[in-house]
Amino acid sequence: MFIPAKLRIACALVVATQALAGCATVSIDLPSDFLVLERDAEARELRAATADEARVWVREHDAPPGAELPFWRKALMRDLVDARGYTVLEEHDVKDATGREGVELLCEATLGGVPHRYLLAVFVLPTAFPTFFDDTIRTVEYAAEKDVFETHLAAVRAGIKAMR
Amino acid sequence: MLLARLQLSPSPRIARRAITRAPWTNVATLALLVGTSGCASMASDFAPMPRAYESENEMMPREPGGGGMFAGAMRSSAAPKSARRMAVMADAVGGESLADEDVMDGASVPVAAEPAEPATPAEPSSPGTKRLIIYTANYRVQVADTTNAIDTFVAEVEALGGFMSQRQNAQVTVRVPAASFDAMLARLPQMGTILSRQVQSLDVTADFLDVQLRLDTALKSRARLAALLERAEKMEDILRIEAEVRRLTEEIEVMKGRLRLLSDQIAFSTITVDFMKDAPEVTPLNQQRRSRFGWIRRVGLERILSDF
Repeated sequence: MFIPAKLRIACALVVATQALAGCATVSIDLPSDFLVLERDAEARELRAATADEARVWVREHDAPPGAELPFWRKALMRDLVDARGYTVLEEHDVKDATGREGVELLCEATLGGVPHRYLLAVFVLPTAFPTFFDDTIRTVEYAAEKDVFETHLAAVRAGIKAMR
Repeated sequence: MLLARLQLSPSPRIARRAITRAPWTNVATLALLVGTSGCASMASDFAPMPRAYESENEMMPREPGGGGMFAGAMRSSAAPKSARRMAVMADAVGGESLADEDVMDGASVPVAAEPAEPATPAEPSSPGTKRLIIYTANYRVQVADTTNAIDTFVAEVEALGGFMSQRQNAQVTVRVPAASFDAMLARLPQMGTILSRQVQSLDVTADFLDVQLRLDTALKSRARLAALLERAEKMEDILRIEAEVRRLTEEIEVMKGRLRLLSDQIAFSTITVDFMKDAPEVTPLNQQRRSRFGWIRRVGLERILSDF
């Protein structure tokens, strides 16, 4: 079967672009209070923790293509609030350094009798080729015991805003 | 088939022809039409049934604006206006029957007095009858400082003419004038995060009028017995009449008490608020209705604390 040269080049570019996108490491700027425990390019994630056990977990997940932020916001609320029983204290829009829009949820929940607070920022990175590839969901999670949470909240939020 | 043909027929003349050419199918068609019209009337009979009992039970940690579905329903149906309710009760018991007042739980509560004239309560189902509704609400609210929140809440209730009826740890039960019920509920989302909300309305119109009717009947019977007692001469008759008067008097007191209770519950709505400092325990994983999306299942406090 004859495939025109231009089409072959285009296909190769698509595959290369997606491959490069997959290899890109996730990163977030955090103050020195946080120690980066793991930066896994393969798994597209980064974990960091403070001495007082506040934790930041940045990840990229595959998700079915086509869904936009409002869809995921609704699905998240259903799972976190209705199914798990989290209490949402704040919910608002955020933007990263590239101007990409996301959503930030600030929740509270008690686990094992210890009240915790949990921040989740979600960004949707849609694929250019939905027929072949999934969308990417980038999440930034920050969790800490309630008393500790406020200590690092501003730094984590600043890190989210500076993400690319 | 005939129905389909009739519907597809381009003109009434063709339809008539179809009917005359198929006499047996006419009978079946008529039967079908009668049957379906019967179904329609049944449906319309059920539609306007008054809702005697409404409730809303919602777990809703978000929606800081409050209100919600129930608030809308309240506004669209009989809004809790205590003054209007008192007028309704006055109508129901014969105009001047609310002259007597008792004090219950520290609040002035109208009490149905013995009517001079036989009362003619309106039929509860008649269209002109206003509804007598008891409103109750149960909230769980997360606040930063429970003691401060309770003090603020009770102070606002008292400012609206209500009072605190019970307090146990961080749970407080208050009674507010029915007219202020909505306002007080609207205030709660401003005090903290609503963890759960349950609001109920109970229509007691029929119950109230039924007790009122039985009370009227008992009062008239007792009045007749009193007249008989004055004319009685035999000791045996006097004893029997007095025994009957005693029995009726007990019944009358019970019914008055029931009316007093209903009047109080209608005039003053009950709000119970459980103030909490921390969010409740997370639902165990095996009891959760989890999302079908893998990445949503992989995020969360449980995961960051256990899989980190």
